[in-house]
Amino acid sequence: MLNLSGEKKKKVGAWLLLSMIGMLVLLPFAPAVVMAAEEAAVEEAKEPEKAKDVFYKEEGEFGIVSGPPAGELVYPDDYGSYGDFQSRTIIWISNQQHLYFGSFVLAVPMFVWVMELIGILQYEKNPKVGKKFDDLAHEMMKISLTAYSVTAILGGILIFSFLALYPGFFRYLSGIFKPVMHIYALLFILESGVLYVYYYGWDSMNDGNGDWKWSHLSLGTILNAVGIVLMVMANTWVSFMMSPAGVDAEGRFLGDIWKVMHNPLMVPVVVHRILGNAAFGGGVVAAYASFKFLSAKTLEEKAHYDWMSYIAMFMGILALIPLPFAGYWLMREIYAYRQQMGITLMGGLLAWVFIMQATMIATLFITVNYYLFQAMGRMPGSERYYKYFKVLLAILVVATIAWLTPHTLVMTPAELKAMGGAQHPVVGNYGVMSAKNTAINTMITTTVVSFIIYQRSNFKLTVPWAWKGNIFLAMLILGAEVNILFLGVYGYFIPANVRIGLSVPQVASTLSVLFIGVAVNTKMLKGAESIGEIRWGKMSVRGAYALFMLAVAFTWTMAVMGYLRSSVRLHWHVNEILRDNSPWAFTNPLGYAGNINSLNVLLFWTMLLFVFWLSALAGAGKKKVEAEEAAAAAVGKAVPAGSH
Amino acid sequence: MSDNKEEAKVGLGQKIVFGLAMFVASGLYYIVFLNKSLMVLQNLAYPY
Repeated sequence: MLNLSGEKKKKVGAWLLLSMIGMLVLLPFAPAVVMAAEEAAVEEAKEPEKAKDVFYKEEGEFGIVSGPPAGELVYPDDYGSYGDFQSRTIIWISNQQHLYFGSFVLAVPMFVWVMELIGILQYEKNPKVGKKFDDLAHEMMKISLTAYSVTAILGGILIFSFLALYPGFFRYLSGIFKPVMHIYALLFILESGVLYVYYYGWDSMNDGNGDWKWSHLSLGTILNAVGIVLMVMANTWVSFMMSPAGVDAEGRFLGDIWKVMHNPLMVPVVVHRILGNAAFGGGVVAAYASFKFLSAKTLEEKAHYDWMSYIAMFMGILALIPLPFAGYWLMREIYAYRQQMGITLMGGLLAWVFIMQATMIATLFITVNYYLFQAMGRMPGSERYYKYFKVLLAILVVATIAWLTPHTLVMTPAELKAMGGAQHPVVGNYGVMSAKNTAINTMITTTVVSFIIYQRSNFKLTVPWAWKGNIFLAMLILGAEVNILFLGVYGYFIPANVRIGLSVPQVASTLSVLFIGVAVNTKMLKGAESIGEIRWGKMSVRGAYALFMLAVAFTWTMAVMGYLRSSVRLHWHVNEILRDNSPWAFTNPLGYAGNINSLNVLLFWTMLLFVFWLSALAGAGKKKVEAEEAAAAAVGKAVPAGSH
Repeated sequence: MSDNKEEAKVGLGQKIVFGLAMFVASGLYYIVFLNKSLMVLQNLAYPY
């Protein structure tokens, strides 16, 4: 047998690993090459029939017909059912559960990557802090690993549900996406391979901030890149169903898969989902840490999980802040694609679902602020700022009320008469976008102010220009809020097509406070005198529950908005191409939708608690072995080595 | 905010003058820079 020295063994190992990953990276291209050759052969054989694209105009307007028409689905031949259950509800639940876990396992490696990078960069300055971040990243990855298996199982259930309940629709969609279906499956293998090497190689590749550690981080980069590509591909199916492209009016594939994937709503849906996943992932990890915080027995454990929940929450909020703007952009693109679709969503049939969403988003922002107020309990010196909480809360409540006000109400004729119309003469004015945008921007600005206060709560400023900095910050925040209000009011006096543009400077005002405000505040804290160390683990129990609330609100918002996005297709499987001819093509009553969304949230959290429990089980086993080893060492007895 | 010893030496008049200057600067930043320029850019991107 080949006898290699330690260093050589490492090199051979590294090359083997690199070639394996290299092969896995190239694997997804194999079917594309085969298919390109097939297409070329078909093209040569006969004169191609050309047809007009439903979306692309001018250049690339015509494409070669490369697939069968969508046709007409017939009930019950093209649909399946289990007894009296609504097939649509089964698909709805399977989709939602797969999406929850998928989002979670996509988001966690993003955080893990950032945490590991911070750990490596910190290692040289302070190995203890570096290790703390590294351990945190490792622990987060452990939760994700179990969730990954659950995601794959749920994906399987989803495909089987499609095959059993919607075979006609599934046949059409998989026919259109045939050129990339295998790439998706092979990328999944690549993702799994990299994930396992990344997780199980964590300890053996850990040499602080040496070459192996950087190689390990590179694996994390590949893992995230593949994860995002997988998500983008899955998103293209969904956005194709909403806004098809690359097919003709009969639904025949026109030979260019990129046009199908790059449909009009693809990019905004992808951006919105990446941000949404990151916010959701942060919320779930924060909830996990809170769960551990609440059940911790020692102060050391409490301190660790308090810190972990704060970091996870912070990362989630970083994604949450731009999320409403990404959502606004998506809506704008929906209006640009089909105005009627936008109206159905925001001013018609589904407008009340938007009110439900508004309730959840307001809950999210109030909870974040509440958490920050509670978290200041662990900061010595924060008492100085308690008096401002009432003002901030009052602003949040007023903004929430404006944010929740519906445009019109469903009423009896007598009620209509008493109010003088479906729209209230005064309150009704708060039901339009000008007021909504003003409210959400105010809420975000207030949250940034809370964060600025949180940042400085246990410090005494020592920079000589502190007074100038304070005045500058006050004017920056005041100016932004005045501008947000001014643009909101101005919106009532101008036509809709100009008004829609006002949201951009409104957002820019909020972002100015976020970026300039936090940067100046951080600069002001340079060399500041500490009033006392942060007492990690001393946060109130209410703060930990607030993080649970945050995570559940994220989950519920995702359920509501997912339902909304999907329902906007109304009686179409693929908008204007493939009609839904099942008995479940109607739009659900609001109460039913609310119940199923709640059931989805409950189901997800039950499964997630199982995942948390599993990871705690592994941790408990490890601790037991360590305790036994320590006890044995104390009496000088030899014990077998414990496995990781 | 008055915890700072350096800050205590700064007179109220000086603070008011600086505050006014910042107020004007912030007004110019939001109205001219953000509102005007972003609306112009948008008109170029989405010519209705």
